Amino acid sequence: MDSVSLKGRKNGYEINLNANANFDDNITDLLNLLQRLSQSEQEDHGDLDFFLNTGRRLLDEPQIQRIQALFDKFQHFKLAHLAADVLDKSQAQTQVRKQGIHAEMSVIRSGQEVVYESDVLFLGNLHAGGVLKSTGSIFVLGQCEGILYAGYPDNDMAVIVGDISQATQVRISDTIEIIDPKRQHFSKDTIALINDLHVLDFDTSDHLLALRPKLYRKMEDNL
Amino acid sequence: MATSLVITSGKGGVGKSTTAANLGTALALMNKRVCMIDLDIGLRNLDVIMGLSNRIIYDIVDVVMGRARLHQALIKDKRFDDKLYLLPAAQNTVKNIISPMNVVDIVNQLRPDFDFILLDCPAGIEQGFQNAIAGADGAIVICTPEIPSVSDADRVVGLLEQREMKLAPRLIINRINRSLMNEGNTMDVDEITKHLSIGLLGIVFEDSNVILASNQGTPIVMNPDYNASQGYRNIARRILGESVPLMTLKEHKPGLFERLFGKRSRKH
Ligand SMILES: Nc1ncnc2c1ncn2[C@@H]1O[C@H](COP(=O)(O)OP(=O)(O)OP(=O)(O)O)[C@@H](O)[C@H]1O
Ligand SMILES: [Mg+2]
Repeated sequence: MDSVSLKGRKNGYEINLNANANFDDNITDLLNLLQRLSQSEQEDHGDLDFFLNTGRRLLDEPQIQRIQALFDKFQHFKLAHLAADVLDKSQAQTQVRKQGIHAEMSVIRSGQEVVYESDVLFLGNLHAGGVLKSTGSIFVLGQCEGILYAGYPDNDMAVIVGDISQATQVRISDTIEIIDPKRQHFSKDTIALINDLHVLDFDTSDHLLALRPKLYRKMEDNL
Repeated sequence: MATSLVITSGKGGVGKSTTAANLGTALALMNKRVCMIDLDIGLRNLDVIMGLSNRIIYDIVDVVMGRARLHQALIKDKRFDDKLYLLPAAQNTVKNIISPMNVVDIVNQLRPDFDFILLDCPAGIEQGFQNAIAGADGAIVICTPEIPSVSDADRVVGLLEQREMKLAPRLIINRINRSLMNEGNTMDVDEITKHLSIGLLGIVFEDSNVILASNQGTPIVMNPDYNASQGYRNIARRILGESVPLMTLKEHKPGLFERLFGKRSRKH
């Protein structure tokens, strides 16, 4: 039985490589398929894109190169996409970490920087001179005297929620605000965010749904 | 086998050397064998506070460079029989001549002969600091009730925690001015301890006799009558595992009777 199957697509083809078959068989069958296609396709069609799916088989680098080499033999065939239905464990873990919300409970001391690639629920103690940085949003329940940096390096949609009155600075994406409790009024449910004019601005967290609906829903799902 | 403790602070001039000298002396008075090592290369002090300067022949750099053997460079403090020794720092060399490995080596050579090795750390967090903490099983962090000092202590505790030493770092708050603290003009003991979130080993009051004693080369702890002396003695006892209550911050305000009649009023 053939270990590869073909489906037409606009401007190209989708090919499924059967993960239950031997990978060498996949390669042989794929080569045959491509040869047949190149004979039947008209020259004037221009370049054809191929979308390959390996099902439940995860390819390693040499295997990917073998497939790429097959396509290099045909001038008008382009390997546009190569994917599997499964994920590497470490990749999966990184994704989970990016999606979920991470609870941080430690003491971040002067000179220390703690970095997250996710939203962070901060329950710890951020000392003056310390930095809590995340690519996502930061929800503060602990004490903050240092620098809070959300949306690092360029996520404008990130917010910082909670009591930031003691913090030295808050930063979101490429904006910075030096906190001066004498000048601004902060409460336990202050929300810092970048407004439409791309200026770091403050509001109260009951407006989170209106201001950042996506984030609001994500929080609802996670907590 | 000795326990080695580094006395460190980040900030300069908060009382590291004074603490090293007084704790070393207090432990020796309690019959422990103690070796103090001055690691402030180029700015040695510990020998002065101990009144041992004139007896220096070799120093730690001589030992590292192989110009002297370790036991030749150790100065025995004759006031305490065989209990207290000092390995002095060099006064006239560049600091980077000693490496963390050298310190580890020296400490390990001394371990079998002592109960405690106290490492007097230089200010800052550069090479000299790295050298000092390399040889230590645990750290005593000194700070004064001032924000810059507490902030530097915080930085140092962070660096110490990264190293995961055998013993958790502990805090001494030095130069406490009771009336300033009681009136709320400085951070108080609880605030500082809570902020740094490490265990409190003890407190020492501001006491001008500390300076007089250092100038005379007799650490204040040798005279039990002073407030600061009691502070150091309590700390030494806690290091040995005793539980000693913290000294009270309350100032003794003489009552009316006492002011009028002095001590006589009590005799009735
Ligand atoms: N409890 C105290 N009361 C009054 N004076 C004190 C007290 N403790 C220390 N001092 C004084 O403070 C000064 C600095 O102390 P010391 O030299 O021990 O600090 P250090 O931290 O070792 O300094 P360095 O960073 O320069 O090594 C000295 O003059 C000392 O006598
Ligand atoms: Mg000193």
